Amino acid sequence: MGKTAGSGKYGMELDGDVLRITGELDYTVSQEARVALRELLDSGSGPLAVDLGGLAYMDSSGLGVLLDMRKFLGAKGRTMSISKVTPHVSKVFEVTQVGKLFGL
Amino acid sequence: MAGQVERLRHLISANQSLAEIESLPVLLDRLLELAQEVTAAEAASVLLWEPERELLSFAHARNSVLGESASDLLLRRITLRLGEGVAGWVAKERASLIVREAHSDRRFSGTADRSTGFVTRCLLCVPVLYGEELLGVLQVLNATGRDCFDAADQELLESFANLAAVAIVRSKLLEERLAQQRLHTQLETAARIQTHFWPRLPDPGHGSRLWAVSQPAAFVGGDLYDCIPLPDGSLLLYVADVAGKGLPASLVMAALWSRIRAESQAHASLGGLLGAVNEALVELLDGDMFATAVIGRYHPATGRLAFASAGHLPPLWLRGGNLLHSPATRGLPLGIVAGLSYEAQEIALEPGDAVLFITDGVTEARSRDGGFLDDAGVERVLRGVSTRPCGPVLAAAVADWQAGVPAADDMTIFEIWRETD
Repeated sequence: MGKTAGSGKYGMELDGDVLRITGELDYTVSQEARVALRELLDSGSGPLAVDLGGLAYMDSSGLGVLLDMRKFLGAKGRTMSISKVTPHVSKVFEVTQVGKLFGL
Repeated sequence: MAGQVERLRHLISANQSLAEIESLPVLLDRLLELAQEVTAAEAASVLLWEPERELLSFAHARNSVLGESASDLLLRRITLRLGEGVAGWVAKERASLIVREAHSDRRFSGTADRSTGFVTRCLLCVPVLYGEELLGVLQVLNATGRDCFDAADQELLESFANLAAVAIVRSKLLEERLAQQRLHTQLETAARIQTHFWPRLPDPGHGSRLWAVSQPAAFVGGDLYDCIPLPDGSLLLYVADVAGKGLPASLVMAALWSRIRAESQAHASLGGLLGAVNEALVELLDGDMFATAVIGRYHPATGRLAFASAGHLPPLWLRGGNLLHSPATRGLPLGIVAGLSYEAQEIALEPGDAVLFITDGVTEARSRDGGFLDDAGVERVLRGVSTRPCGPVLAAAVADWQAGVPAADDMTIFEIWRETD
């Protein structure tokens, strides 16, 4: 069990170099999620694996959170890749074509 | 008995003042005046607690001996920390206190006396509380014609403190409401201004027609559509969706609108145009926000429509009541990564065909039970619809789908269709 963050709507859990995001990541929580992720990922090194298997919904603001995380890690010389996406989130990655930035 | 009647008369008068006077400074001054009068005190003052600075500061002061000059000095110069002086002690302990010999009491600080020249002999100080919340303290100094204040004075001053607390809280609520009203007015103005971005749709000629609707979820939104006639008789038309919503998204929307207008005639290809807009957004936003867009160049004379997409939903192409597959395009949203290229595809509209550019406010419209309208729902709505424009049918279906639920996202539909010969 690693470090956790989140509100009732979404959850985040960092276990070593694996980050799990669950619930719903949308406009209403995007700002706090950005801040929480930056705190959660402040230390650590190497590639980060992001498991979105429990993320039921994500809108464009939620996608913005992931892009912000990618930029934050990139500034530290780290990379991130996403695995295990739910059908809805998979569609967001497919339509926006942003999935390829995360190795999908 | 006479004293009791007098106290009651003052308390009633204070209550009336609370009901009649809206201005907090005027009301606090009136309460002080009544408190000073009924306790026969030489001076009275109210100090308010400032949580941000963690200080008590004089808000109002009355002094019958030294007059206004002493009050002015207090208001301008003196602040107390929690626990400092008698007022600070009362604020910290949230308990009333009568000090009979001020100068021999270790809790008395004397700072105010040194500043004004007033000599405090005795004082009565009570906290001003709203529930558990400290708002300030109320004090009367030097009882005239007797040694000091007594328990009856304390009880009365505590009643005055309760009235002061109600007045302070009421004033804060009023201020918040006014601030909200000001914000509301600004948002209404912004919403009105945003409608000016929507273009007056031209008649493309050659039997082609245009129809559009855009509805922000909040006052203003990040959805955008535009139609720019080009010198060769073609039309540049697009729908864009800035991530997020509300004011931040609408600011980016305005920047995007102006950038696309500026670049609209500088590029031979749609891919080149999207690439240039992407560079501008990356430079402007540094990857903090992004926008998706689908952009088309339509030739009314031939029905040819070239289109390119930046991470946006593909166009919906209708022939009669059937949905046709428009060819896939490649391209990331605008503003994320620099140095991208975008590719365009082309389709040919036959008479009766329609193409709809939509934002995800359509497909992600949520019903009361949380279900999305989705691609399948959009197909279900449009299948069999051969009337043109069919955008209004889709917009009505979105409204029906999310009936009773506030829209979660901005929604835009931009339709181009060819009339049947």
